[in-house]
Amino acid sequence: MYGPIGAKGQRDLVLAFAEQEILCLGIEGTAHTLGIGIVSSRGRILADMKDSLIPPPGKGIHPREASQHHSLVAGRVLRRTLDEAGIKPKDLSLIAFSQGPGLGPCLRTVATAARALATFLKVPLIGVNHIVAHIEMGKLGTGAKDPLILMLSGGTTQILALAEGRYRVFGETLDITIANCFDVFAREVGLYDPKTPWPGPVFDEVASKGKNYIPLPYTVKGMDLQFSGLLTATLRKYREGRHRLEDLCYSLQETALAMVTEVAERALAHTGKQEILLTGGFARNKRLQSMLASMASEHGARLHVVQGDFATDNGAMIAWTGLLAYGSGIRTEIEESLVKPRWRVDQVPVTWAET
Amino acid sequence: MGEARAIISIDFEDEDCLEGALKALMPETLRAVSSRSNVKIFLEGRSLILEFSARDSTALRAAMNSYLRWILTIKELSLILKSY
Repeated sequence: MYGPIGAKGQRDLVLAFAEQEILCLGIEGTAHTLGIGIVSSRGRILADMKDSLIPPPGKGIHPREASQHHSLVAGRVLRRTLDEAGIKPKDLSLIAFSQGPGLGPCLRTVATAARALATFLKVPLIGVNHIVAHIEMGKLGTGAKDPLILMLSGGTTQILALAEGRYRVFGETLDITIANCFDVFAREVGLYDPKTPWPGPVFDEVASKGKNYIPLPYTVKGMDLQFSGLLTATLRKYREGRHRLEDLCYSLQETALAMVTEVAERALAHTGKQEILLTGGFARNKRLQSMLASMASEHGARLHVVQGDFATDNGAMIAWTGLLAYGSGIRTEIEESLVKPRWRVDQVPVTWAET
Repeated sequence: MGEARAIISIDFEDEDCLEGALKALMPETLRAVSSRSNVKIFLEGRSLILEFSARDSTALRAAMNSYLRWILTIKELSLILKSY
């Protein structure tokens, strides 16, 4: 028997929140990263470990290969996380997992592992929306209270804000994500970093050497954006061979980031928020941070940028959001824990928020 | 559906691990790994029985691979937890 026996296994976990600090283990696995984190109900991050599948140079992420990777590494990431946290499995009171959105095969591998852990430990299970988790971890890490959120990653380009109990989408991409636009362009022109699944740092370096702006399609439709035309046009110009790669990268970046900044500014004015939270893997783009900071200051708002590993996919964000959700009364029975590959962020009732 | 079928029986020495595997996998049988296959699972003593049916051998292999990987992961997690 693994699980806690006695009062801890029988009492209502909601009451436990109020009485003592409890620990949640969260498993993230919506795409290429398998992350496991352990967080306390008081927001202490005891451990956050991850293992990412790095595709061959020039290739993207294959869902089946990513799910196989997650199966392969789940055990050792679990052990590393427990050891880093310095706890025993019986100290855990809740298991949270990324129930969606994401790649179906990857989600199912993580869900299966999470159900098994919850059953072995005899603790509750809670499914977490991946995008909501990014937001909540961003708020925990930066101290942002009620921000306009820019969620920019390989799988998401959305501008969100909390309104009437949900994170509402005020603007989003109508085709590909901004990160996907940059990644595909970089792969097509041979820019990649063999140490990571994304070519961002290499792209940034090349773009910083650009001097001449090349006009490219700028597509903002109200509060929504489109990047596929921008990508196609930039690739076409690259293949024409008449422009420096540095200038193309610079122009692609300036155009795409100006589009995002315009939509963010419109959303800021509409919502009246006093803070902007930038998160997701694309948040590390320094030029974007600079543009948003400048725009925010013009509106008397403050920019918060989620730093480092907590901006990209991680298990700690799943654990923290699981605690928030469970503590506010949300439940996930094992029979209802089917994954939701297309789970939209605005379908999640944010029952723990005050506004 | 049923041009290709397979039945796999996996023995578990540990009853807790067997229970964990059944509970972890049962929800997955409610939704097919692909639209081309179905899986049923049940217990028989200390064995987990998986019944696969698929439109073709390719789909059968894909479904079997997924479940067998998941079972390996579940067994590994069980051993890790027991080691603490």
